[in-house]
Amino acid sequence: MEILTNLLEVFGRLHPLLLHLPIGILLGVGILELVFWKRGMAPTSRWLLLIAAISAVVVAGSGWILHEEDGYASSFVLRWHERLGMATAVGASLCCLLRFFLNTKHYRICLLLTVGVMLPAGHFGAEMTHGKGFLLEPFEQTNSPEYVPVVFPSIENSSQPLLASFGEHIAPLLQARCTKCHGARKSKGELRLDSSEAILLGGENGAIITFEGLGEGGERSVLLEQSEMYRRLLLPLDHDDHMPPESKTQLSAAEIDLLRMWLQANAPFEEGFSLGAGIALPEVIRVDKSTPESHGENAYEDQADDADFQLALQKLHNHQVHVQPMEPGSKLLWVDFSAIAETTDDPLVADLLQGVKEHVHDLSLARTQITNDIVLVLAKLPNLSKLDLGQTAIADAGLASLRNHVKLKRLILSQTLVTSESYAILESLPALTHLWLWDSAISMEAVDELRKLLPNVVIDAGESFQTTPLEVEPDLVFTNEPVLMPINRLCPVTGKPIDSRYSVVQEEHIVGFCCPNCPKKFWEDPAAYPIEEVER
Amino acid sequence: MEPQNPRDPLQEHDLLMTRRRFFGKAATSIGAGFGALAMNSLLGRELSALTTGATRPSGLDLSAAPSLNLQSPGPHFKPKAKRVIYLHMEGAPSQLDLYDYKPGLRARFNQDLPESIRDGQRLTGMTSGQARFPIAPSIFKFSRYRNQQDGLWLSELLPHTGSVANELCMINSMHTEAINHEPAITFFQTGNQQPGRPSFGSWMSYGLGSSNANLPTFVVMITQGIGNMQALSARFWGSGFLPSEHQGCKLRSGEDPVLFLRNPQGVSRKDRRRMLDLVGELNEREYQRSLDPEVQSRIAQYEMAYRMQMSVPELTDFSDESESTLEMYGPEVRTPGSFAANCLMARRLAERGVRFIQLYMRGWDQHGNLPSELRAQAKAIDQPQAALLKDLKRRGLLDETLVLSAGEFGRTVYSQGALTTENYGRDHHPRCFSVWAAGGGMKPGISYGETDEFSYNIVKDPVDVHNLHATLLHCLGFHHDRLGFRAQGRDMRLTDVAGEVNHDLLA
Repeated sequence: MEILTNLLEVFGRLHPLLLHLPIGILLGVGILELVFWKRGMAPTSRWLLLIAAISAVVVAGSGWILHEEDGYASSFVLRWHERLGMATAVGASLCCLLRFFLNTKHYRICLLLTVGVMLPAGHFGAEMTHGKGFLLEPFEQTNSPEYVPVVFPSIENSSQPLLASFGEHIAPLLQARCTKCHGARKSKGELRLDSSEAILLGGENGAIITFEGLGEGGERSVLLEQSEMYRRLLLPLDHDDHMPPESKTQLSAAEIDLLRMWLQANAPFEEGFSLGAGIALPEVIRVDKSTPESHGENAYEDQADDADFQLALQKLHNHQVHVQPMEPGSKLLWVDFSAIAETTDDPLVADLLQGVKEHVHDLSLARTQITNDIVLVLAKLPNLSKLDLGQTAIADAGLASLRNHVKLKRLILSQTLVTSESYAILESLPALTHLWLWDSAISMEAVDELRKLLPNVVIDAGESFQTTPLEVEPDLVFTNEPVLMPINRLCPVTGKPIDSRYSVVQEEHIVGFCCPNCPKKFWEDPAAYPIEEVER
Repeated sequence: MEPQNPRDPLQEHDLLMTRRRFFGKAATSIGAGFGALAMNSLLGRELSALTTGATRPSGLDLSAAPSLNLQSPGPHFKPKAKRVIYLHMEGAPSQLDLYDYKPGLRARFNQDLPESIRDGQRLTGMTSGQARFPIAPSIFKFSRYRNQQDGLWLSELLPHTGSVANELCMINSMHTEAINHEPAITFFQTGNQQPGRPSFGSWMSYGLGSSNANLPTFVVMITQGIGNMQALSARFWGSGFLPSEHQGCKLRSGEDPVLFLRNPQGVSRKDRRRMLDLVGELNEREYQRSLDPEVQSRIAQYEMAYRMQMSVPELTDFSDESESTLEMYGPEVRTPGSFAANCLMARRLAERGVRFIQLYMRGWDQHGNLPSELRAQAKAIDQPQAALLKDLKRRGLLDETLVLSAGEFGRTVYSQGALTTENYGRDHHPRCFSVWAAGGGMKPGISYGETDEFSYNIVKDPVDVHNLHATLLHCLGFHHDRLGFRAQGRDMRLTDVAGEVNHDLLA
């Protein structure tokens, strides 16, 4: 039974192959009939039409099976492709019947109609495979793209060295400027720049990054001037070898600088690299959301990724782990284990986070039964920004795994076993802005030391709040002397409501002010501050 | 009968328009049915299908899933606050004796309130017979505590609250229309003086959804007061026209925190599970036939009760709290039902992902004997509410928890009843009162708005209840005018037809 289903699926997948036969025949016969329009029927074999009809029906069948199997989202294009495809099959069969049984010229009308229906069907089918606008895309390439600023995770503190990374800074740059021609869809010069392996592999002219020496292990340094990737950027614009080509958007000076610094750091793909002082991170890079990479041959892979993601979410949901996007439409997630904190342990966390690794932004593991080992897994969550480890058994050994995490901003270590041994780890987190340390194994004096080490981080150690007020009212005396009441309600100097304690006598009246400072101002120039008398 | 498609309006209409409904309460049931169309998929259609009763895929573990009813719309933009703790001081605490510092009144003891100030404000039946309206200055001394501006004045009754003054967003210029408790509390809770609308907590339960499947989304705890107590109706935490699973779940003090939660003698948890599975199937069939969302609510409530059997005992057991934490909340923390115990419970609920926690403290309605009663009332809340804020802050939860303390209106500057230098009472006063908020996106350490020297009218930056709701909803990630529900023929929302976000109050 299983084999039959698989065979059927394979048959469905033959659809893109089989469809060429009826299209070819119908078009061919159609053209011939047009040529022979005035002179009577074309000398085409009836049997050709029969082949066309049968194959058209078979193709429609395989297309239907293909739709059933793969998770195609229902859309305008899909629905009309199906309808027109079936109409083509019906039309071809009708033509065949007319040709066989009536054998008159009238079948040509039917043939023309069939071809007329087939062309849009084919076009929609190609659109589903290659993406919208595929046909006329070459015309679009010469338009200069709109600039959409991309937010680099800017490091606010200029005192700390700026840390960039391939994934965050170089990859978007390449994607915006290079991968249209050097990517999955098109690989000019057999060069692809959309993955680290491809970059290292190079193209038909060899490697684009030249390393010194061939030593295994140890750092190989990049020879900047001899690396094609960099050399071609610096060539004159009209030079044949200059990259990007003259008609495309050029790299700005800041972008070239960024690439240079990455190469000079020996082209690291995993670790970060630090930028020299005074570098201005390129602010304006257009990340083209509608690149053909997102359609076309990768459509199947994209859908598979999406399906994996949905499966991972369902798994989390079934375990009662709360998952919510950080904001609507975002794939960055808030993941909260508090509903099952009592039974959450390392294997469960590792298992459940597996499918959503890149998407975890806020993670709460407070009150769970995790141990130090799980932090190895947590350190590999690239977008982790807030981590709550409160009331867990995490200690220095575990925290050490978080060293150098580039995105971690908020870290809650209240009621953990972390001691001042972890200061170096905390210092190594470049993006850290808030830290909670109440009831950890760090003493109050040690916290003060940490505050000096990390002046830009808000550290909350649960200190007792100030209980002594700044000022207490003097003893209360209730009086009831209307004579001593000020004649105004709002201070003539500031306009604020008056405090009747601060009053002065002015021309037989009592004038009130809001604070002890205003009477002096008023005294110096009474005319400048008119008094609003209020009837009492 | 084969399953109906609830999204097909014609089919739905056919199903719902039985003769009885046509002549009976047609409006609400049809309206509520259309609410099923208000679904917004969170992370894709698949996930929304998981929590929708309408298209339930096979293999879904009913006992694990949260609400089967309407998919919650979710925040409209990135929220600052993930949950709310609302301390409602029922009876209307006197702002003059707690928050609104008016030293100038000391010199007006026993003077008549000028007519120009009173400006025709309607009197309640309790003071309309009074011949005089003598000004009663507060007999409590005020102190100034450090905050982000030039200090926050608080009365001597709130020293602990003073110690957290740097976290508070004090609003002294709230005003409302209602002059008596029922309509005023209804107004503050639901946005309308007439009953029938969902409370703030229900809106949040609907809007945010659950973040802990084992606990209700909206929990209510009540503390009996020491002073004069007013009635507290259950509809203050009711769900109005929202599905009834969004109503507040009351946690009682005493042996049984939730009524009817325990299995009867002889019924084991396994038996309970089998019974629920069968009843669930029957209810599911009823839903397919009638599309009544209340059926879904019923299923959800049963399932929630089943899960709460395991989660509530752990929640209410304070034995895992350290001594120092318990001391921080004050001596009453071990008394079940006290405000201190409820504050500690509120923190535990917040930790465990409950979205809206409402504490009611009764007994603030001091029409007479204000000094002695207010002393006792304030003592009961001062230390616990400060401890709650400190506890949330040191655990890193305050940034994402919106804490609000509010009464339903203020109290008059003139005394109700006889005025002496030691004793007085105050009547209801809607034109100005004070509330404070902390955490969750509200601006900490500020004092907003000013009243005149009599604390009678507002002279600067008035905030009405709808605007406060809109601002709080903004912290929670909602456009107040877009979080709605169709009922009685129109789109209803918490802020009714008003409300404006006040950005001066936001961090």
